Amino acid sequence: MKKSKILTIFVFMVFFYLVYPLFITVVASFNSNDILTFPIEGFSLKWYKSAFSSSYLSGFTISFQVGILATIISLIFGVPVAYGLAKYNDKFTNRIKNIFFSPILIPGIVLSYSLFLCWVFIAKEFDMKLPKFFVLMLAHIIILFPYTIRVIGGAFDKFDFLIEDAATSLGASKKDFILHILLPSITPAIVSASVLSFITSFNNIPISIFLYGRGATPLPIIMMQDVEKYGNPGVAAVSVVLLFITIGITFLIEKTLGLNNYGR
Amino acid sequence: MARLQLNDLKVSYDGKVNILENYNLDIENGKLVSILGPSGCGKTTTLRAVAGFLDTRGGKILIDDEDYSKTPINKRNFGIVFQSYALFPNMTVYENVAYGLKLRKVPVEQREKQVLDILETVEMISFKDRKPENLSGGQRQRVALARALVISPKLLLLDEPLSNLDAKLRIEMRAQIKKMQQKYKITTILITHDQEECFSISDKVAIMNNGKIEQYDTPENIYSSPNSIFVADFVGFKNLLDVTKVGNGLYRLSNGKEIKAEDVENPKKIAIRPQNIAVAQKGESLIEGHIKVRTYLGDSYQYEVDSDLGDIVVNTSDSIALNTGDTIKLNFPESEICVLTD
Repeated sequence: MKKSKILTIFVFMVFFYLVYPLFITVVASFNSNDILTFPIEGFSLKWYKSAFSSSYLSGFTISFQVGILATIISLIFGVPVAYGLAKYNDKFTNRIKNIFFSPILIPGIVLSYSLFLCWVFIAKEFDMKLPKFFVLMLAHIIILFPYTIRVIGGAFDKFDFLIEDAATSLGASKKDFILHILLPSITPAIVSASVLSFITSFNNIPISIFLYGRGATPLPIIMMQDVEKYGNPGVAAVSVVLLFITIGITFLIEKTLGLNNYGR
Repeated sequence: MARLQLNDLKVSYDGKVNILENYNLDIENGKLVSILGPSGCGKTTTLRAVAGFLDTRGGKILIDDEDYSKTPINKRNFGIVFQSYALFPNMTVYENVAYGLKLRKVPVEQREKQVLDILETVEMISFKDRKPENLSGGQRQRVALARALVISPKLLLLDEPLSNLDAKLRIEMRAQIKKMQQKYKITTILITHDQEECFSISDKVAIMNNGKIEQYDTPENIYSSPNSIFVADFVGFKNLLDVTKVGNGLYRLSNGKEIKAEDVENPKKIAIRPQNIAVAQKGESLIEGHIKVRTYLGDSYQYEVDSDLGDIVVNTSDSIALNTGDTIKLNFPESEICVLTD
């Protein structure tokens, strides 16, 4: 087949558009200067040292913990909900489905503000200050839930629900069916939903913006504040570290499970 | 090995309208009984109620005089084969079949022997390590059958098991089902809408309509003497004609002519199959009409005849085809007429 020259150039331009900003970041992270400049003035690794400072590490830990917990909890609630929605697929469940998907449509910052008001209300009326970490996690569960239901639901769309009847008739209890057949059948979807949820949570700023607090500030918020405060290449170095962690994880999953199997 | 009796069974989906009401069926030990009927007649409801997937609102499901209507599904020990096969997608053929035994905590060596034995019988032994997604429809069906039978069920329930297979495979599989059912002597209910399928392998057939059994008899008896207009129509008596009784075994048709048949009180209609109508060459005939439509059936021709009795369908094995518009004379042989009261 003859390659179209225009198409080749077009594809290359789109690729350039997607990758070039990252390239700048990688280069900027090696700058020896104290302010972000491009091109860089001298080569240095000092920002990488700052990338592993206690402030970033604690932010990373918070983001990691929130991400993992929110992902697990949204799966625990999401799998049964997705099963129910797929099994009893009618007008009523379709309406409920829309409600479950609504957190995607509501701007994160609105959701964040609403939850912040709830926190203030509870603090005032019940004189109970809920821990910020806990509130942050609740907020993240809300935004992850639609993704979980969507991905897990995709796996159930092709699921033959008579399989449950077949298992029961062979003597399986509900628990047997769930552990031996249901969960193993949707493992790829569970992995897929977990990765998607974790990344969504880890990257999120809008939902965290009104809810973080002392000892519960996620990494993206710290990065944002540092850009505002210092404007030095430190954040660029953190970004590059995150970039490589993500590439590493993707590579690992690709090797062990095959990324193409996701959501199928 | 068991006798199944359904006594006054009541089943309802919404708690108001009963899909099944005062439903009775008695299946002798080790027999294969088919429930045949058009879609929506309640045959699958019957099976799901017996299996326990639907709660009964009344009546009893007796197996050797023990009531099972309140027993949880997973304690009933019935083998079920579904139309969609419903194999476990995460398990291999071997694991699918072994699952029931595993739940029953059958020791590993014994389990293995039983599973391999039954896979041998259904000729699936060489596929034992495959996943269901890599099997054809017929192969999946064999696995589903093996999985249902390996637990030595009290009852085997087959829900339209052959509907998703092509014609040739269907004939092969129904022989397989009959073979297995006889080998293990398991009391079996087969749900189907395919008359040929059920007549060929059943000991008895229950014809259902609107949640009721219209006739429960051997395939031969149903085929030759249906007891209602619905059954006659369903089993291929395409010609149903109004009659009035005028004497002992003598009936008058709507065109004024009289025919002889078995004597029945309060007859409504007579029924006759297309292949049992005789074509008269000359002389007196019961019906005279013109051919409207001709269809070639392979071993015979089928004609739709426009007559003074309405449309009559007749099959002839004559090699010479008549043409549309030709006049044809027909007689109903006395022995082939079935007189129906309702």
